[in-house]
Amino acid sequence: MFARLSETQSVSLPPALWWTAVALALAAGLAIPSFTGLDVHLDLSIIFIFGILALSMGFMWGQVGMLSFGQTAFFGLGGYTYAVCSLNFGETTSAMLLAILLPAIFATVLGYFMIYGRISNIYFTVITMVVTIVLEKAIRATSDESFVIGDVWLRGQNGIAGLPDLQVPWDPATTLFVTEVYYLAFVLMMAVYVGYRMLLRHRFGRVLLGIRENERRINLLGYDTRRYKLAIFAISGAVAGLAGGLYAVWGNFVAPEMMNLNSAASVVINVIVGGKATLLGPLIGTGVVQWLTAWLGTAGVGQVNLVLGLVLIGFVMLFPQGILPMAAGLGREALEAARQLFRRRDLAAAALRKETNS
Amino acid sequence: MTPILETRGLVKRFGGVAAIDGVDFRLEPGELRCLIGPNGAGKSTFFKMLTAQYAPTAGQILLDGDDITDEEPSEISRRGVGIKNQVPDVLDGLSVRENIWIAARGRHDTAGADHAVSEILERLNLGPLADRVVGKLSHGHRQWVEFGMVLAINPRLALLDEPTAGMTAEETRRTAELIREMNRSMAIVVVEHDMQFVRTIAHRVTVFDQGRILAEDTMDRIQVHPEVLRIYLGTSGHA
Repeated sequence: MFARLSETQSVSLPPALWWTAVALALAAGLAIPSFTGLDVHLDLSIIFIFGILALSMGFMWGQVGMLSFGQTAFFGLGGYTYAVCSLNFGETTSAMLLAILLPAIFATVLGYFMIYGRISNIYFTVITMVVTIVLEKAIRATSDESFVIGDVWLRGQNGIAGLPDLQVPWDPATTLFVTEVYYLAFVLMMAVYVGYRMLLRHRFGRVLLGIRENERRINLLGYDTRRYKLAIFAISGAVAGLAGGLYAVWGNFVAPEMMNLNSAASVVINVIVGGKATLLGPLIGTGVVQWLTAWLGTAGVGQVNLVLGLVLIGFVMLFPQGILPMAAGLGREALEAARQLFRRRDLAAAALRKETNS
Repeated sequence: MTPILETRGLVKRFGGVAAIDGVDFRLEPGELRCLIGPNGAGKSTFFKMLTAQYAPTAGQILLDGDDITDEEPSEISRRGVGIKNQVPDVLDGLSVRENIWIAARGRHDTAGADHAVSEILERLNLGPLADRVVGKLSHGHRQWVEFGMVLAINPRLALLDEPTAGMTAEETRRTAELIREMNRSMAIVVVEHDMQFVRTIAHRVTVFDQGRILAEDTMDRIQVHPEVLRIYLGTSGHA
Protein backbone atom coordinates (compact mmCIF):
# COMPACT_ATOMS: atom_id res chain seq x y z
CA MET A 1 0.00 0.00 0.00
CA PHE A 2 2.71 2.48 0.90
CA ALA A 3 5.41 2.45 -1.70
CA ARG A 4 7.19 5.06 0.34
CA LEU A 5 6.98 6.20 3.90
CA SER A 6 5.46 9.64 4.07
CA GLU A 7 7.47 12.74 3.32
CA THR A 8 7.98 13.30 7.03
CA GLN A 9 10.48 10.50 6.73
CA SER A 10 12.88 12.93 5.14
CA VAL A 11 15.06 10.11 3.85
CA SER A 12 12.82 7.45 2.43
CA LEU A 13 13.84 4.86 -0.11
CA PRO A 14 11.63 2.47 -2.04
CA PRO A 15 11.66 -0.94 -0.29
CA ALA A 16 13.87 -2.71 -2.85
CA LEU A 17 16.50 0.00 -2.65
CA TRP A 18 16.24 0.09 1.12
CA TRP A 19 16.81 -3.66 1.45
CA THR A 20 19.79 -3.37 -0.89
CA ALA A 21 21.21 -0.60 1.29
CA VAL A 22 20.69 -2.73 4.40
CA ALA A 23 22.39 -5.71 2.75
CA LEU A 24 25.33 -3.55 1.69
CA ALA A 25 25.66 -2.05 5.17
CA LEU A 26 25.51 -5.53 6.65
CA ALA A 27 28.21 -6.79 4.30
CA ALA A 28 30.42 -3.77 5.02
CA GLY A 29 29.97 -4.10 8.78
CA LEU A 30 30.81 -7.78 8.70
CA ALA A 31 33.85 -7.18 6.50
CA ILE A 32 35.41 -4.43 8.62
CA PRO A 33 37.02 -6.72 11.25
CA SER A 34 39.07 -8.57 8.63
CA PHE A 35 41.17 -5.53 7.89
CA THR A 36 41.16 -3.63 11.19
CA GLY A 37 42.67 -4.17 14.62
CA LEU A 38 41.11 -5.02 17.99
CA ASP A 39 41.12 -1.36 19.06
CA VAL A 40 38.84 -0.48 16.15
CA HIS A 41 36.55 -3.42 16.95
CA LEU A 42 36.28 -2.19 20.53
CA ASP A 43 35.58 1.41 19.50
CA LEU A 44 33.00 0.46 16.92
CA SER A 45 31.27 -2.04 19.22
CA ILE A 46 30.53 0.64 21.76
CA ILE A 47 29.16 2.90 19.03
CA PHE A 48 26.82 0.08 17.98
CA ILE A 49 25.74 -0.50 21.58
CA PHE A 50 25.06 3.19 22.19
CA GLY A 51 23.42 3.24 18.77
CA ILE A 52 20.91 0.62 19.93
CA LEU A 53 20.23 2.73 23.02
CA ALA A 54 19.79 5.86 20.89
CA LEU A 55 17.40 4.02 18.58
CA SER A 56 15.23 2.97 21.53
CA MET A 57 14.95 6.63 22.48
CA GLY A 58 14.86 8.11 18.97
CA PHE A 59 12.06 5.85 17.76
CA MET A 60 9.75 6.90 20.57
CA TRP A 61 10.62 10.56 20.25
CA GLY A 62 10.74 10.92 16.49
CA GLN A 63 7.97 8.52 15.46
CA VAL A 64 5.57 8.58 18.43
CA GLY A 65 6.33 11.94 20.02
CA MET A 66 7.19 10.48 23.44
CA LEU A 67 10.41 12.07 24.74
CA SER A 68 11.89 9.65 27.25
CA PHE A 69 14.84 11.31 28.94
CA GLY A 70 15.48 8.19 30.98
CA GLN A 71 16.22 5.37 28.57
CA THR A 72 19.41 4.96 30.60
CA ALA A 73 17.27 3.64 33.46
CA PHE A 74 16.50 0.56 31.34
CA PHE A 75 20.05 0.54 29.98
CA GLY A 76 21.49 0.45 33.49
CA LEU A 77 18.93 -2.05 34.68
CA GLY A 78 19.85 -4.30 31.74
CA GLY A 79 23.54 -3.99 32.56
CA TYR A 80 23.08 -4.73 36.26
CA THR A 81 20.72 -7.59 35.49
CA TYR A 82 23.39 -9.17 33.30
CA ALA A 83 26.02 -8.57 36.00
CA VAL A 84 24.04 -9.98 38.91
CA CYS A 85 22.57 -12.93 37.00
CA SER A 86 25.70 -14.00 35.13
CA LEU A 87 27.77 -13.94 38.34
CA ASN A 88 25.07 -15.77 40.28
CA PHE A 89 24.17 -18.35 37.64
CA GLY A 90 27.66 -18.86 36.21
CA GLU A 91 25.82 -18.88 32.91
CA THR A 92 25.22 -15.96 30.57
CA THR A 93 22.46 -16.83 28.12
CA SER A 94 19.66 -16.52 30.63
CA ALA A 95 21.42 -13.49 32.15
CA MET A 96 21.27 -11.74 28.77
CA LEU A 97 17.64 -12.70 28.22
CA LEU A 98 16.75 -11.37 31.65
CA ALA A 99 18.68 -8.18 30.83
CA ILE A 100 16.07 -7.65 28.13
CA LEU A 101 13.04 -8.96 29.99
CA LEU A 102 13.45 -7.18 33.33
CA PRO A 103 13.76 -3.66 31.85
CA ALA A 104 10.74 -4.45 29.65
CA ILE A 105 8.70 -5.38 32.72
CA PHE A 106 9.95 -2.33 34.59
CA ALA A 107 9.03 -0.13 31.61
CA THR A 108 5.57 -1.71 31.48
CA VAL A 109 4.89 -0.98 35.15
CA LEU A 110 6.35 2.52 35.04
CA GLY A 111 4.66 3.23 31.71
CA TYR A 112 1.31 2.00 32.98
CA PHE A 113 1.22 4.58 35.75
CA MET A 114 2.42 7.38 33.49
CA ILE A 115 0.34 6.63 30.42
CA TYR A 116 -2.88 5.43 32.06
CA GLY A 117 -2.45 8.24 34.61
CA ARG A 118 -2.82 10.60 31.63
CA ILE A 119 0.17 12.72 32.52
CA SER A 120 1.18 15.27 29.92
CA ASN A 121 4.18 14.88 27.62
CA ILE A 122 6.39 17.19 29.61
CA TYR A 123 5.76 15.22 32.82
CA PHE A 124 6.50 12.01 30.96
CA THR A 125 9.91 13.45 30.08
CA VAL A 126 10.57 14.71 33.59
CA ILE A 127 9.47 11.50 35.29
CA THR A 128 11.62 9.30 33.06
CA MET A 129 14.57 11.56 33.80
CA VAL A 130 13.93 11.44 37.53
CA VAL A 131 13.61 7.65 37.45
CA THR A 132 17.04 7.18 35.91
CA ILE A 133 18.60 9.56 38.45
CA VAL A 134 16.84 7.82 41.34
CA LEU A 135 18.09 4.43 40.12
CA GLU A 136 21.61 5.81 39.82
CA LYS A 137 21.50 7.20 43.37
CA ALA A 138 20.01 3.96 44.66
CA ILE A 139 22.84 1.92 43.16
CA ARG A 140 25.40 4.40 44.49
CA ALA A 141 23.99 3.83 47.96
CA THR A 142 24.83 0.12 47.89
CA SER A 143 28.49 0.45 48.96
CA ASP A 144 27.75 -1.35 52.19
CA GLU A 145 28.58 -5.04 52.04
CA SER A 146 25.06 -5.89 53.15
CA PHE A 147 23.72 -4.96 49.68
CA VAL A 148 23.93 -8.37 48.13
CA ILE A 149 21.74 -10.09 45.54
CA GLY A 150 22.40 -13.84 45.70
CA ASP A 151 26.17 -13.96 46.03
CA VAL A 152 26.79 -10.67 44.26
CA TRP A 153 27.67 -7.52 46.17
CA LEU A 154 26.42 -4.40 44.30
CA ARG A 155 29.48 -2.34 45.41
CA GLY A 156 27.83 1.10 45.20
CA GLN A 157 29.68 3.67 43.13
CA ASN A 158 32.59 1.32 42.43
CA GLY A 159 30.45 -0.72 40.10
CA ILE A 160 30.82 -4.44 39.50
CA ALA A 161 33.89 -5.55 37.57
CA GLY A 162 35.05 -8.90 36.27
CA LEU A 163 31.80 -9.91 34.64
CA PRO A 164 31.94 -13.16 32.68
CA ASP A 165 32.29 -13.07 28.91
CA LEU A 166 29.17 -14.00 26.96
CA GLN A 167 28.93 -17.71 26.27
CA VAL A 168 27.69 -19.21 23.05
CA PRO A 169 24.24 -20.51 24.08
CA TRP A 170 24.66 -23.98 22.55
CA ASP A 171 28.33 -24.25 23.53
CA PRO A 172 28.88 -22.64 26.96
CA ALA A 173 32.56 -23.55 26.98
CA THR A 174 33.13 -21.06 24.17
CA THR A 175 32.95 -17.38 25.05
CA LEU A 176 32.87 -14.31 22.85
CA PHE A 177 36.02 -12.22 22.62
CA VAL A 178 36.39 -8.64 21.35
CA THR A 179 35.83 -9.32 17.66
CA GLU A 180 32.91 -11.67 18.29
CA VAL A 181 31.33 -9.03 20.51
CA TYR A 182 31.77 -6.63 17.60
CA TYR A 183 29.85 -8.98 15.30
CA LEU A 184 27.14 -9.52 17.90
CA ALA A 185 26.70 -5.81 18.64
CA PHE A 186 26.68 -4.95 14.94
CA VAL A 187 24.18 -7.62 13.95
CA LEU A 188 21.90 -6.76 16.87
CA MET A 189 22.03 -3.07 16.01
CA MET A 190 21.05 -3.86 12.43
CA ALA A 191 18.30 -6.17 13.68
CA VAL A 192 16.90 -3.49 15.97
CA TYR A 193 17.04 -0.94 13.15
CA VAL A 194 15.32 -3.27 10.69
CA GLY A 195 12.83 -4.31 13.37
CA TYR A 196 11.81 -0.75 14.16
CA ARG A 197 11.58 0.02 10.46
CA MET A 198 9.33 -3.02 9.83
CA LEU A 199 7.20 -1.94 12.76
CA LEU A 200 6.55 1.39 11.05
CA ARG A 201 5.23 -0.34 7.97
CA HIS A 202 2.60 -2.28 9.85
CA ARG A 203 -0.63 -1.27 11.45
CA PHE A 204 0.96 -0.86 14.89
CA GLY A 205 3.60 1.51 13.54
CA ARG A 206 1.12 3.46 11.42
CA VAL A 207 -1.01 4.07 14.49
CA LEU A 208 2.09 5.20 16.40
CA LEU A 209 2.80 7.75 13.65
CA GLY A 210 -0.82 8.82 13.91
CA ILE A 211 -0.44 9.31 17.67
CA ARG A 212 2.54 11.55 17.04
CA GLU A 213 0.45 13.63 14.67
CA ASN A 214 -2.81 13.84 16.59
CA GLU A 215 -3.49 11.53 19.49
CA ARG A 216 -7.06 12.72 20.01
CA ARG A 217 -7.98 11.93 16.43
CA ILE A 218 -6.52 8.43 16.73
CA ASN A 219 -8.65 7.88 19.83
CA LEU A 220 -11.72 9.10 17.95
CA LEU A 221 -10.97 6.55 15.22
CA GLY A 222 -11.42 3.80 17.78
CA TYR A 223 -7.83 3.03 18.81
CA ASP A 224 -7.06 3.02 22.51
CA THR A 225 -3.85 5.04 22.19
CA ARG A 226 -2.77 4.24 25.74
CA ARG A 227 -2.24 0.61 24.83
CA TYR A 228 -0.12 1.55 21.84
CA LYS A 229 2.00 3.97 23.84
CA LEU A 230 2.50 1.48 26.64
CA ALA A 231 3.48 -1.24 24.18
CA ILE A 232 6.10 0.89 22.45
CA PHE A 233 7.44 2.10 25.80
CA ALA A 234 7.85 -1.52 26.92
CA ILE A 235 9.47 -2.51 23.62
CA SER A 236 11.88 0.40 23.84
CA GLY A 237 12.63 -0.52 27.45
CA ALA A 238 13.55 -4.01 26.26
CA VAL A 239 15.77 -2.60 23.50
CA ALA A 240 17.52 -0.27 25.96
CA GLY A 241 17.94 -3.25 28.31
CA LEU A 242 19.54 -5.23 25.48
CA ALA A 243 21.98 -2.36 24.95
CA GLY A 244 22.75 -2.38 28.69
CA GLY A 245 23.40 -6.13 28.67
CA LEU A 246 25.70 -5.74 25.68
CA TYR A 247 27.50 -2.88 27.40
CA ALA A 248 28.16 -5.13 30.41
CA VAL A 249 29.49 -7.80 28.06
CA TRP A 250 31.60 -5.31 26.14
CA GLY A 251 33.44 -3.93 29.17
CA ASN A 252 32.94 -6.82 31.63
CA PHE A 253 31.87 -4.02 33.93
CA VAL A 254 28.81 -2.09 35.11
CA ALA A 255 28.68 1.11 37.17
CA PRO A 256 26.04 3.61 38.32
CA GLU A 257 27.36 6.07 35.70
CA MET A 258 25.38 4.07 33.15
CA MET A 259 22.27 5.74 34.58
CA ASN A 260 23.43 9.22 35.57
CA LEU A 261 22.18 12.47 34.13
CA ASN A 262 25.22 12.75 31.90
CA SER A 263 24.55 9.41 30.24
CA ALA A 264 20.84 10.17 29.95
CA ALA A 265 21.60 13.49 28.24
CA SER A 266 24.12 11.81 25.92
CA VAL A 267 21.38 9.61 24.49
CA VAL A 268 19.19 12.63 23.80
CA ILE A 269 22.15 14.50 22.29
CA ASN A 270 23.03 11.60 20.00
CA VAL A 271 19.47 11.59 18.72
CA ILE A 272 19.36 15.37 18.26
CA VAL A 273 22.66 15.46 16.39
CA GLY A 274 21.62 12.71 13.99
CA GLY A 275 18.04 13.90 13.73
CA LYS A 276 14.98 12.25 15.20
CA ALA A 277 12.84 12.25 12.07
CA THR A 278 14.51 9.13 10.69
CA LEU A 279 15.66 5.86 12.23
CA LEU A 280 19.10 6.22 10.73
CA GLY A 281 19.53 9.58 12.48
CA PRO A 282 20.08 8.22 16.00
CA LEU A 283 22.70 5.76 14.69
CA ILE A 284 24.56 8.42 12.72
CA GLY A 285 24.34 10.88 15.61
CA THR A 286 25.80 8.31 17.99
CA GLY A 287 28.65 7.63 15.59
CA VAL A 288 29.44 11.30 15.11
CA VAL A 289 29.27 12.22 18.80
CA GLN A 290 31.32 9.20 19.89
CA TRP A 291 33.91 9.90 17.24
CA LEU A 292 34.02 13.58 18.18
CA THR A 293 34.40 12.72 21.87
CA ALA A 294 37.22 10.30 21.15
CA TRP A 295 38.93 12.74 18.82
CA LEU A 296 38.68 15.63 21.31
CA GLY A 297 40.14 13.34 23.95
CA THR A 298 43.18 12.43 21.88
CA ALA A 299 43.71 15.74 20.11
CA GLY A 300 44.82 17.35 23.37
CA VAL A 301 42.13 20.02 23.22
CA GLY A 302 41.50 19.75 26.94
CA GLN A 303 38.09 20.48 28.51
CA VAL A 304 36.53 17.82 26.30
CA ASN A 305 33.05 18.29 27.74
CA LEU A 306 33.15 22.05 27.33
CA VAL A 307 34.27 21.87 23.71
CA LEU A 308 31.83 19.07 22.97
CA GLY A 309 29.06 21.14 24.54
CA LEU A 310 29.88 24.15 22.37
CA VAL A 311 30.06 22.00 19.25
CA LEU A 312 26.67 20.49 20.07
CA ILE A 313 25.07 23.87 20.69
CA GLY A 314 26.44 24.99 17.34
CA PHE A 315 25.01 21.88 15.75
CA VAL A 316 21.55 22.38 17.15
CA MET A 317 21.50 26.00 16.05
CA LEU A 318 22.82 25.34 12.56
CA PHE A 319 21.05 22.06 11.83
CA PRO A 320 17.99 21.89 14.09
CA GLN A 321 16.70 18.86 12.18
CA GLY A 322 19.94 16.93 12.66
CA ILE A 323 22.73 15.88 10.33
CA LEU A 324 20.85 13.37 8.25
CA PRO A 325 17.86 15.51 7.19
CA MET A 326 20.32 18.35 6.56
CA ALA A 327 22.44 16.13 4.30
CA ALA A 328 19.33 14.81 2.56
CA GLY A 329 18.10 18.37 2.03
CA LEU A 330 21.43 19.41 0.55
CA GLY A 331 21.40 16.30 -1.65
CA ARG A 332 17.91 17.12 -2.92
CA GLU A 333 18.91 20.73 -3.63
CA ALA A 334 22.02 19.64 -5.49
CA LEU A 335 19.95 17.21 -7.53
CA GLU A 336 17.40 19.89 -8.33
CA ALA A 337 20.16 22.36 -9.27
CA ALA A 338 21.72 19.77 -11.58
CA ARG A 339 18.33 19.11 -13.14
CA GLN A 340 17.79 22.85 -13.70
CA LEU A 341 21.22 23.11 -15.25
CA PHE A 342 20.55 20.28 -17.67
CA ARG A 343 17.14 21.67 -18.52
CA ARG A 344 18.65 25.07 -19.27
CA ARG A 345 21.35 23.45 -21.37
CA ASP A 346 18.73 21.49 -23.32
CA LEU A 347 16.64 24.63 -23.84
CA ALA A 348 19.69 26.54 -25.00
CA ALA A 349 20.63 23.71 -27.35
CA ALA A 350 17.09 23.62 -28.74
CA ALA A 351 17.08 27.39 -29.22
CA LEU A 352 20.42 27.16 -30.97
CA ARG A 353 19.14 24.43 -33.30
CA LYS A 354 16.08 26.53 -34.10
CA GLU A 355 18.30 29.53 -34.81
CA THR A 356 20.62 27.64 -37.11
CA ASN A 357 17.73 25.92 -38.91
CA SER A 358 15.98 29.19 -39.68
CA MET B 1 -38.25 2.23 18.54
CA THR B 2 -35.08 2.72 20.59
CA PRO B 3 -33.41 5.94 19.47
CA ILE B 4 -29.87 5.49 18.17
CA LEU B 5 -28.82 8.44 20.30
CA GLU B 6 -30.42 9.89 23.38
CA THR B 7 -29.24 12.34 26.01
CA ARG B 8 -31.00 12.85 29.31
CA GLY B 9 -30.50 16.04 31.29
CA LEU B 10 -27.02 16.54 29.85
CA VAL B 11 -25.03 19.31 31.56
CA LYS B 12 -21.51 20.62 31.00
CA ARG B 13 -20.14 23.37 33.20
CA PHE B 14 -16.82 25.12 32.68
CA GLY B 15 -16.22 26.80 36.02
CA GLY B 16 -19.44 28.70 36.70
CA VAL B 17 -20.59 28.76 33.08
CA ALA B 18 -22.98 26.11 31.83
CA ALA B 19 -22.10 25.51 28.18
CA ILE B 20 -24.72 22.77 28.03
CA ASP B 21 -27.56 23.17 30.48
CA GLY B 22 -29.91 20.21 30.60
CA VAL B 23 -30.21 18.87 27.06
CA ASP B 24 -32.69 16.07 26.28
CA PHE B 25 -32.03 14.99 22.74
CA ARG B 26 -33.33 12.06 20.67
CA LEU B 27 -32.23 10.84 17.28
CA GLU B 28 -33.96 7.97 15.49
CA PRO B 29 -31.93 5.38 13.56
CA GLY B 30 -31.24 6.57 10.02
CA GLU B 31 -32.30 10.13 10.76
CA LEU B 32 -30.52 13.20 9.39
CA ARG B 33 -30.70 16.13 11.78
CA CYS B 34 -29.26 19.62 11.71
CA LEU B 35 -28.23 21.53 14.81
CA ILE B 36 -28.31 25.27 14.46
CA GLY B 37 -27.91 28.12 16.88
CA PRO B 38 -25.82 31.23 17.47
CA ASN B 39 -22.12 31.04 18.33
CA GLY B 40 -21.62 29.85 21.88
CA ALA B 41 -24.98 28.04 21.95
CA GLY B 42 -23.15 24.83 22.95
CA LYS B 43 -23.35 22.81 19.74
CA SER B 44 -19.66 21.88 19.56
CA THR B 45 -19.54 21.20 23.28
CA PHE B 46 -22.51 18.88 22.84
CA PHE B 47 -20.66 16.96 20.10
CA LYS B 48 -17.53 16.76 22.22
CA MET B 49 -19.52 15.20 25.05
CA LEU B 50 -21.13 12.68 22.73
CA THR B 51 -17.64 11.51 21.72
CA ALA B 52 -16.17 11.64 25.25
CA GLN B 53 -13.79 14.47 24.42
CA TYR B 54 -15.46 16.23 27.35
CA ALA B 55 -16.87 14.48 30.39
CA PRO B 56 -20.41 15.64 31.21
CA THR B 57 -20.94 17.40 34.53
CA ALA B 58 -24.31 15.68 34.84
CA GLY B 59 -26.76 13.66 32.78
CA GLN B 60 -26.66 10.58 30.63
CA ILE B 61 -25.75 9.67 27.06
CA LEU B 62 -27.32 6.56 25.53
CA LEU B 63 -26.39 4.87 22.29
CA ASP B 64 -28.95 2.29 21.16
CA GLY B 65 -30.23 2.41 24.71
CA ASP B 66 -26.79 1.59 26.23
CA ASP B 67 -25.36 4.07 28.70
CA ILE B 68 -22.07 5.29 27.25
CA THR B 69 -21.65 8.32 29.51
CA ASP B 70 -18.43 7.05 31.11
CA GLU B 71 -16.87 5.36 28.10
CA GLU B 72 -13.56 6.28 26.47
CA PRO B 73 -13.48 8.04 23.08
CA SER B 74 -12.04 4.91 21.47
CA GLU B 75 -14.83 2.72 22.87
CA ILE B 76 -17.53 5.07 21.62
CA SER B 77 -15.87 5.13 18.21
CA ARG B 78 -15.83 1.33 18.12
CA ARG B 79 -19.55 1.35 18.88
CA GLY B 80 -19.95 3.07 15.52
CA VAL B 81 -19.81 6.79 16.18
CA GLY B 82 -17.68 8.90 13.84
CA ILE B 83 -17.02 12.60 14.27
CA LYS B 84 -15.75 15.36 12.01
CA ASN B 85 -14.59 18.16 14.25
CA GLN B 86 -15.06 21.82 13.51
CA VAL B 87 -11.40 22.53 12.78
CA PRO B 88 -10.04 19.85 10.41
CA ASP B 89 -8.81 17.22 12.86
CA VAL B 90 -6.42 15.24 10.70
CA LEU B 91 -2.92 13.76 10.86
CA ASP B 92 -1.04 16.68 9.30
CA GLY B 93 2.35 15.04 8.92
CA LEU B 94 1.06 11.99 7.04
CA SER B 95 -0.22 11.56 3.52
CA VAL B 96 -3.89 11.59 2.52
CA ARG B 97 -3.69 7.86 1.88
CA GLU B 98 -2.14 7.17 5.30
CA ASN B 99 -4.77 9.28 7.06
CA ILE B 100 -7.62 7.32 5.57
CA TRP B 101 -5.81 3.98 5.82
CA ILE B 102 -5.22 4.36 9.56
CA ALA B 103 -8.93 5.07 9.99
CA ALA B 104 -9.95 2.12 7.81
CA ARG B 105 -7.46 -0.31 9.35
CA GLY B 106 -9.22 0.03 12.69
CA ARG B 107 -12.29 -1.67 11.16
CA HIS B 108 -10.82 -3.92 8.45
CA ASP B 109 -7.90 -6.27 7.92
CA THR B 110 -5.07 -4.94 5.76
CA ALA B 111 -6.58 -6.03 2.45
CA GLY B 112 -9.97 -4.65 3.45
CA ALA B 113 -8.41 -1.36 4.52
CA ASP B 114 -6.48 -1.04 1.23
CA HIS B 115 -9.70 -1.64 -0.65
CA ALA B 116 -11.69 0.84 1.44
CA VAL B 117 -9.02 3.50 0.94
CA SER B 118 -9.08 3.19 -2.86
CA GLU B 119 -12.85 3.41 -2.81
CA ILE B 120 -12.95 6.47 -0.57
CA LEU B 121 -10.18 8.27 -2.47
CA GLU B 122 -12.20 7.88 -5.62
CA ARG B 123 -15.50 8.80 -4.01
CA LEU B 124 -14.06 12.03 -2.62
CA ASN B 125 -11.95 12.83 -5.71
CA LEU B 126 -8.84 12.71 -3.55
CA GLY B 127 -7.00 10.27 -5.83
CA PRO B 128 -4.60 12.83 -7.32
CA LEU B 129 -3.70 14.04 -3.82
CA ALA B 130 -3.33 10.57 -2.29
CA ASP B 131 0.40 10.80 -1.60
CA ARG B 132 0.49 14.44 -0.59
CA VAL B 133 1.12 15.41 3.02
CA VAL B 134 -2.18 16.56 4.50
CA GLY B 135 -0.67 19.50 6.39
CA LYS B 136 0.29 21.10 3.09
CA LEU B 137 -3.20 20.91 1.57
CA SER B 138 -5.82 23.66 1.47
CA HIS B 139 -8.40 23.95 4.23
CA GLY B 140 -11.13 22.57 1.96
CA HIS B 141 -9.08 19.53 1.02
CA ARG B 142 -8.26 18.82 4.65
CA GLN B 143 -12.00 18.91 5.33
CA TRP B 144 -12.43 16.21 2.68
CA VAL B 145 -9.66 14.13 4.19
CA GLU B 146 -11.46 14.22 7.52
CA PHE B 147 -14.66 13.23 5.76
CA GLY B 148 -12.69 10.34 4.30
CA MET B 149 -11.62 9.25 7.76
CA VAL B 150 -15.22 9.29 8.99
CA LEU B 151 -16.32 7.26 5.96
CA ALA B 152 -13.44 4.83 6.52
CA ILE B 153 -14.68 3.80 9.96
CA ASN B 154 -18.11 3.24 8.43
CA PRO B 155 -20.07 4.55 11.41
CA ARG B 156 -23.73 4.03 12.23
CA LEU B 157 -23.86 7.57 13.57
CA ALA B 158 -21.83 10.41 12.06
CA LEU B 159 -21.46 13.74 13.84
CA LEU B 160 -20.39 16.51 11.47
CA ASP B 161 -19.40 19.84 13.00
CA GLU B 162 -19.63 22.60 10.38
CA PRO B 163 -18.59 20.36 7.50
CA THR B 164 -18.71 23.12 4.89
CA ALA B 165 -16.66 25.73 6.77
CA GLY B 166 -14.01 27.11 4.41
CA MET B 167 -15.41 25.32 1.37
CA THR B 168 -16.20 26.88 -1.99
CA ALA B 169 -19.80 26.94 -3.28
CA GLU B 170 -19.07 23.96 -5.49
CA GLU B 171 -17.49 22.01 -2.63
CA THR B 172 -20.47 22.86 -0.44
CA ARG B 173 -22.83 21.47 -3.06
CA ARG B 174 -20.78 18.25 -3.25
CA THR B 175 -20.75 18.03 0.54
CA ALA B 176 -24.54 18.24 0.62
CA GLU B 177 -24.70 15.41 -1.91
CA LEU B 178 -22.22 13.34 0.05
CA ILE B 179 -24.13 13.82 3.31
CA ARG B 180 -27.39 12.73 1.72
CA GLU B 181 -25.64 9.72 0.27
CA MET B 182 -24.04 8.84 3.63
CA ASN B 183 -27.47 9.14 5.22
CA ARG B 184 -28.62 6.06 3.30
CA SER B 185 -26.48 3.90 5.58
CA MET B 186 -26.10 5.93 8.74
CA ALA B 187 -27.76 8.42 11.06
CA ILE B 188 -26.22 11.88 10.88
CA VAL B 189 -26.20 15.01 13.01
CA VAL B 190 -24.83 18.13 11.33
CA VAL B 191 -23.94 21.40 13.00
CA GLU B 192 -24.23 24.11 10.40
CA HIS B 193 -24.44 27.89 10.09
CA ASP B 194 -25.34 28.07 6.41
CA MET B 195 -29.18 28.10 6.36
CA GLN B 196 -29.31 27.40 2.65
CA PHE B 197 -27.26 24.29 3.26
CA VAL B 198 -29.45 23.24 6.17
CA ARG B 199 -32.52 23.60 4.01
CA THR B 200 -30.97 21.37 1.34
CA ILE B 201 -30.09 18.47 3.57
CA ALA B 202 -32.23 18.27 6.68
CA HIS B 203 -35.76 17.28 7.46
CA ARG B 204 -35.70 18.12 11.12
CA VAL B 205 -33.78 20.90 12.77
CA THR B 206 -32.87 21.38 16.41
CA VAL B 207 -32.12 24.90 17.59
CA PHE B 208 -29.65 25.36 20.44
CA ASP B 209 -29.50 28.54 22.45
CA GLN B 210 -27.51 29.21 25.62
CA GLY B 211 -26.84 25.53 26.22
CA ARG B 212 -30.48 24.47 25.86
CA ILE B 213 -32.72 23.18 23.12
CA LEU B 214 -34.89 26.13 22.13
CA ALA B 215 -36.95 24.46 19.44
CA GLU B 216 -37.10 21.31 17.37
CA ASP B 217 -39.15 21.03 14.20
CA THR B 218 -39.08 20.92 10.42
CA MET B 219 -37.09 23.65 8.70
CA ASP B 220 -40.26 25.28 7.37
CA ARG B 221 -41.74 25.66 10.80
CA ILE B 222 -38.41 26.59 12.41
CA GLN B 223 -38.13 29.46 9.95
CA VAL B 224 -41.30 31.00 11.27
CA HIS B 225 -40.82 30.05 14.94
CA PRO B 226 -41.03 33.42 16.79
CA GLU B 227 -38.42 32.55 19.43
CA VAL B 228 -35.97 31.30 16.82
CA LEU B 229 -36.48 34.39 14.70
CA ARG B 230 -35.82 36.53 17.72
CA ILE B 231 -32.58 34.92 18.87
CA TYR B 232 -31.12 33.70 15.66
CA LEU B 233 -32.54 34.15 12.22
CA GLY B 234 -33.77 37.65 12.88
CA THR B 235 -30.46 38.94 14.09
CA SER B 236 -28.14 37.03 11.77
CA GLY B 237 -29.93 37.96 8.58
CA HIS B 238 -29.25 34.54 7.04
CA ALA B 239 -32.82 33.53 6.38
